[in-house]
Amino acid sequence: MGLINKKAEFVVTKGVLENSLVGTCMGLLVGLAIRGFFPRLNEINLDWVIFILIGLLIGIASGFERDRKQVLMRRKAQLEAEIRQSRVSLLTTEERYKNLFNYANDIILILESDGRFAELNPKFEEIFGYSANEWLGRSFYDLLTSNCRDEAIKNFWETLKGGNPRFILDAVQVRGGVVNLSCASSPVRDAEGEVIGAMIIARDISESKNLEELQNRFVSHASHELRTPLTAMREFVSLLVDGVVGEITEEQKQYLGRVESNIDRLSRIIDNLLLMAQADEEKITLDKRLLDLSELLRQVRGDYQAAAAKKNQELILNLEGELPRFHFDPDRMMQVLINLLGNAMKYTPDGGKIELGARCEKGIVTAWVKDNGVGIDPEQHERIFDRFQQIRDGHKFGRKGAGLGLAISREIIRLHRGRMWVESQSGVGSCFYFSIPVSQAPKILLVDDDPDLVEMYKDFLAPYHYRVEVAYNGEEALEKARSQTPDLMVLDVVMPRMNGYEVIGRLQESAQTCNIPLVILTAYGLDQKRLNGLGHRLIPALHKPVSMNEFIGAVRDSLGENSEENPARSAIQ
Amino acid sequence: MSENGNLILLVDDEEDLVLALKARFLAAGYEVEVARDGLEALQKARSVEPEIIVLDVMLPKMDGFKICRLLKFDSRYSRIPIIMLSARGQEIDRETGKKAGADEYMVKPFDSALLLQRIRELIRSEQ
Repeated sequence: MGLINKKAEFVVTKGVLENSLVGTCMGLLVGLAIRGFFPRLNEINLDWVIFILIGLLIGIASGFERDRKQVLMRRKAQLEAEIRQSRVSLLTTEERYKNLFNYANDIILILESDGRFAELNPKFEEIFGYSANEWLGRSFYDLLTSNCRDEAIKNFWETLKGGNPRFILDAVQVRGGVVNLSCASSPVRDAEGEVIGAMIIARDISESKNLEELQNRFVSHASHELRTPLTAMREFVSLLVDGVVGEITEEQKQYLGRVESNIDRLSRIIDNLLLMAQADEEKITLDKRLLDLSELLRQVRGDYQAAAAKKNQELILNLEGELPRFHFDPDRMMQVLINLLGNAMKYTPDGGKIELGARCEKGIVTAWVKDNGVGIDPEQHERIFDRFQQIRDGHKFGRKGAGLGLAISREIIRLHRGRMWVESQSGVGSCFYFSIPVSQAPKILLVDDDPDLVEMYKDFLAPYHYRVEVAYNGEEALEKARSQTPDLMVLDVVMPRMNGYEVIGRLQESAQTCNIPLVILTAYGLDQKRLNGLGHRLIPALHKPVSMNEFIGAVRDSLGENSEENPARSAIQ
Repeated sequence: MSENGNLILLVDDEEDLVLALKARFLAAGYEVEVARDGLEALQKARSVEPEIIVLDVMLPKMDGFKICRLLKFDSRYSRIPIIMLSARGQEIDRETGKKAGADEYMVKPFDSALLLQRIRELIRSEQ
């Protein structure tokens, strides 16, 4: 918006023409008037034409002038309006920001790039009990408990680099209390876009955290308190049932049996609640032992055969091949199987079929409980694993549970580093699966600057189900040796920038990488002295070009695997 | 079994449970001595010399773990088998019980048939 368009004065615009026309008329009138008032001018023999020309000239000149003024006036008015407008919006923006800052229900901290407070909102004073003024200029880190300073520094740096991290910190109040803050941080920039600080919006989540803890403590306390009377009740009932205090009738015995089974049910619910509370506090500990899951499946089938027969349900065991023994907690695993089987029996009509099964593939044991019962709608497949959830219309299938069984089962499987899911169709049946990795295939890091050779080594390894990582230079190799924790490295000696010897030297520097066994590849002779000097665990070197048998042999030797074995089985060791 | 070869010292402050368990033990042919707090338990363990002790964890005056430790580390009484009963089911408690030297650790509510079976086995292994 240039204030004055310099060229405009001599451009014939519509405004100019209009104004000129008006000017010309005025000029003619003036000419006529002059002629009328001074009749003697006729004697000087001036023609009409001259008067008309004068009129035209005056008209055109005044036309330009008038137009210029009008344009300027319009521009002025326009600019004034714009200024008014932006002043108003500036005021509103500032007002809004001030309101946000002053009345936000979250703490807003503005930090300089060195971590000192530049601004603090009133909520800060409310939560911490400090005056904001006494903290301005002081370091943000002084506000925090010492154990979360590293976390704060890390996230502050990320913000200064332009990030928007979210994190949780503990800060200390004036009275010494600790406040849990859930923080969202964003960079503050100057007019040039340079980051000059950070704004942290922090929410006090102490209350919800305390509430959660309180709830868990309550559950765990309540369940302990509830168990004691249940124990006494059960004891008295079983004394009566066993006839210890005199004979009872069959009917009395039956009723007492009902009491007993309800006591059991109640104590199971309490157990589950307690277990769930423990899961939240991550206090469930597994008593893992090296066992055979198929044994457990057989046992469950044996235990429930009679109950299934009562409902005319067929309970079959389907073991697809042998399962490897692996580490699991037999009691907890039993709990999972009983839960899944109990659900299957409950939701399968009389005369239905239930299958317990398991298989092992690529080092992962998968077990399942399959039924041809009522099934579950796809939209409920995830929901049923939530706590206190039952499948829709579940009450039609007998006794209601607490809705904790699947949540706990999934948690137990998760603690075994596995996962649980369901495949089901309404009206067709359900199949609950869980899978647990029983062994990790060894991870091999291939390091060679020649991509073709790397591809070839990968092909060599392909039939063995090893996990393979690759690096094409020394730096990458070191980085991956640290981040991927390979079980073995295959290392080319001659590489640009950082050669194999240097890589080995650097591997030695870290406790994490100094014990990784190495298979060394070389096209030339090896500098054995230099290698020995590095002190790494040495594997006989391979000379390029390497044959597949040589390569695999060296890899398996250094992994301590028996080379006689069938390659296809080697993954599960 | 000798005349005093079947004495059970039952330690629990829960009156109802004491009553029920006592009836159960008597019916199974055992003699029963009852203690209702930690100190009484320790005194009775030393004076009546029971064949076995059934010991609750949460007791007034002294907890079950401590009683267990005191008895098991005293060579005069260390031979007495101890079955600990607890309303707490956490693995930590089981560990603590084992460390304190308990021969068996059962979580309430337990199966009384199983309890009797363990009592029989433990007394037999002592004789």
